[in-house]
Amino acid sequence: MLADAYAPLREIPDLDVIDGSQAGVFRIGEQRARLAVRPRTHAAAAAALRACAAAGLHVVPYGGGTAQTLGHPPFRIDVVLALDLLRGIHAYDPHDLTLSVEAGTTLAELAQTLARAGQHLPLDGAQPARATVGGLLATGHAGWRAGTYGRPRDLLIGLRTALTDGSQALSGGMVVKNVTGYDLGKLHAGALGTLGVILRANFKVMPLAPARRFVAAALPEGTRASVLTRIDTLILRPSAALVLRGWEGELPWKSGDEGSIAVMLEGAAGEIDRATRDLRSALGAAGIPGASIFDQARADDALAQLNDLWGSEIGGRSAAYCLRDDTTRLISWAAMLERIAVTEQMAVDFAADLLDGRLLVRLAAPTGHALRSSLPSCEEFIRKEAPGARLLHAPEWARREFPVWGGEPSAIARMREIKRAFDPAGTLNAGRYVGKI
Amino acid sequence: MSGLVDDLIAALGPEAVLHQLEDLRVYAYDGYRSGDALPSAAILPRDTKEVARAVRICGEHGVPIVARGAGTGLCGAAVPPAGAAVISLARMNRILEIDTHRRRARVQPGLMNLKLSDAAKPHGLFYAPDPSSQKISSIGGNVGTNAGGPHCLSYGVTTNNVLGLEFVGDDGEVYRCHQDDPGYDLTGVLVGSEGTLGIVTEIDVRLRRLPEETRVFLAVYDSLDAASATVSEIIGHGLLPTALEMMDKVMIKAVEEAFHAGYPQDAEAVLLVEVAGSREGTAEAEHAVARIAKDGGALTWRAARTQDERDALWAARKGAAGAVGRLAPNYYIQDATVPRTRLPEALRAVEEIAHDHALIVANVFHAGDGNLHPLLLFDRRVPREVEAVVRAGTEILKHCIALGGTISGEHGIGYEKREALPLVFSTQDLAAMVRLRDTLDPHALFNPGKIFPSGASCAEVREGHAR
Ligand SMILES: Cc1cc2nc3c(=O)[nH]c(=O)nc-3n(C[C@H](O)[C@H](O)[C@H](O)COP(=O)(O)OP(=O)(O)OC[C@H]3O[C@@H](n4cnc5c(N)ncnc54)[C@H](O)[C@@H]3O)c2cc1C
Repeated sequence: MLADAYAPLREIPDLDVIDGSQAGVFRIGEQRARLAVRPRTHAAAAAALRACAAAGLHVVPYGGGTAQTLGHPPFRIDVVLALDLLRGIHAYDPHDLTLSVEAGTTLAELAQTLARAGQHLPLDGAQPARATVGGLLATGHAGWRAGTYGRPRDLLIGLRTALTDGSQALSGGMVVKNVTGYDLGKLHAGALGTLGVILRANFKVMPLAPARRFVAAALPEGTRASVLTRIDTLILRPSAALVLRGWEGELPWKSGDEGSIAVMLEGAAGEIDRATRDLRSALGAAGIPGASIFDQARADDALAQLNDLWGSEIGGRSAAYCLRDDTTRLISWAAMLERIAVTEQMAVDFAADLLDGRLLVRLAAPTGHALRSSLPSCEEFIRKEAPGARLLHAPEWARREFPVWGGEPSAIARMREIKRAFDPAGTLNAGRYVGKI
Repeated sequence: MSGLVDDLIAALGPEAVLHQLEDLRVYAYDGYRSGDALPSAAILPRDTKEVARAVRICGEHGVPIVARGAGTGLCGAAVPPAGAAVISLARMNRILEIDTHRRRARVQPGLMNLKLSDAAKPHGLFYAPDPSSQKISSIGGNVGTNAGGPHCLSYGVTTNNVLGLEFVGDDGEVYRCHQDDPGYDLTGVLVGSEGTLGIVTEIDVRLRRLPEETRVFLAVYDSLDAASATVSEIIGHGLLPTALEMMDKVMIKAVEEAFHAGYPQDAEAVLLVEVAGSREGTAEAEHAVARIAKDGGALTWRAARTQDERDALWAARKGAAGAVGRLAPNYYIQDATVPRTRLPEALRAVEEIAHDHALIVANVFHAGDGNLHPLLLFDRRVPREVEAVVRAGTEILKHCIALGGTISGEHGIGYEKREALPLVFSTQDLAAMVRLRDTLDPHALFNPGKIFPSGASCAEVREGHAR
């Protein structure tokens, strides 16, 4: 029966169809794809989508596969729509500070192109060598510099998508200021591919700061609270500032009794020197003795390691949450979770974003089985304190049972209507999004 | 219709509902045009609940609703179709909260833009989007049009500074959306939707810290070409001043006569450049920008020395449109954007088009963003001139599109440009937009006839939708 449903896909030009064990390289959480299609053109992507919708097949769009554990598990996976052949820079004139890129392009590839012209797109993703532009947009992932540069939606200036009726829709354009028509890019950014498939995205890009410096220091006993207030009063704002605890083996600096602090500084050379002096004296006043300093490419690497923490999973036995609030409260929640974890025999690692009020916390048990019995008490604590907390990754059972996205927004009914309007057959990523949309 | 007014008065009280002809006239225009027809009522709610009640009553009567901020919009977006009800947010104009720690504010939509920055200033904070109309336009209206301003070059436009909204939907329900909340980014699609998707009743905005240092410069040129080439060079070098504005000779003269701010009247063009940030950063940026300006042929490069001098230069720039009244009885302000490298070409085209139509053009615009604002001067009483302006305006848009640009950078589509939308977007593109409209407002209760093309082309759009 299903085999017949797939038949129209094989008729579509410029569409590679992969089945059998070869399709198994595409993994969605604990499941493997049985059939994948790889469009070579936008038209093929749109045609594939329409064919799937017409045949009642459920589609999971697939970039680099680095965030396929985000959201609830999909109701069903019939076809993986892999975007890895839609890659490359479509248009880029460094003098315009704008760029148009195909959705399947990896973040690393994009960064390389831009760096050659002394520019960057300051949207930090985890695992940039695999993560794609389309995936970054679909997840709306905001890296550690989002408090400074904005989220993916803020740098997006144009978007081309394929919809389930086989149409392609463009919004925005290649200019940095534009109020022509609805800003549908905002609708798709962060929609987890539930409304359409992102084909190509246009961004405004920026000059790379001439000087980049990363400063990290271990926090001795009793220094965490005071460092929070001191960072807040710095006149030269860092582009990222975090307090961390744990992540053993994942970060190239030492951690103290209360973890560590990490700060990214970007700007003109003179600016960075002054910022470093100010930061050192702020740390000194908080009772924090030495600091490690990484410059330029090494600073970029240190920042990349921090950004990788967002995707840091310990196979089948960890879960990660993102909580939002005032930083002081976030840190106190982290401390409480550490206490709960001790009784539940779990390991807790966390990273608190001091500029954007976010806490990334990873909970790990000795085994997947142990996680099953110990995670619910943490989940309960988190839901009580921060109902809006988002579960970023976890084994499937947890993503099925827990309110992964936090509470339902007040406009959830209107969002369901939007889903129905754009994807009437529920073809795209059905069940994964907010309210199991 | 009287049933509507009676129901509104019963629900909101007589002082919240205007329905006399002479009162209604005030709600029939915006900065683009005065409507040919009057609304049936103007409603002045005091709070969100009253907005919701009014929306429900209008919905029951099948009377369309046009949200109105301060009515300074330049595309006719706030002009009501005949018989519509206007909901004016003028009385909902309070600042509800300033959170200095998290640098956010919660405001009502009727608040004038500048009032927020004034209130934030004692805390060392400001609200970045600063349309030239910031004294006279409301933040709700800014949300409606996704307003920009000189300082948006470095701080982003309204949509980048609005974190969340409260709005009343077509069903009369009150919804809240926030970028931090899960689900589709309704905040993102409502900003710039010109009141076609809901009535915004509360706005959460980001505030920024006032820079440690601000420097303002004037670069003077003997040709428009040299000035616009300099802008392309500055951006091409990866420099982003906080503001980079340009004025041509016609504009400079008008502005200087009105404000005496110190703009050189014999110049062909000037660039107004602002760099702000840390002491070290601004010093470096000044150095780099000044070098490019001089290499690009600037006759002089002058720094405003005092705060008063800076304020005067900015006041004159922001008052430019008003000063044009000295040059001609009427002006039509066009708004289009091009990629920054195409600025010199675009300006040359504007000049040629104006010349071909025997029109005088004055340019004052957000050069750093590639956002052109040619003002075409004319006399409404002379039919030939009116026609020439309309034709020249359209030609300018077409030219900007051909250069890779678009038909509105900040003023919006409204009535003015709805028929031009298909120049930029295909039927399929428009169908996707209409799909959102039809979902959130299926009965076209909110601001019907705006943004999307009318008549035949609209049928086409719907056809595209069905496919
Ligand atoms: C001298 C002058 C200079 C200007 N300079 C600039 C500039 O530099 N940059 C710029 O971007 N614009 C500029 N403008 C245009 C205008 O000021 C902006 O478009 C402004 O955002 C309009 O605000 P308003 O309060 O007047 O809105 P209105 O004109 O009343 O309404 C504008 C649109 O928003 C909708 N709307 C209003 N309130 C709400 C609400 N609460 N909920 C939902 N929809 C709503 C309306 O229905 C309408 O579609 C200028 C205008 C003038 C006259």
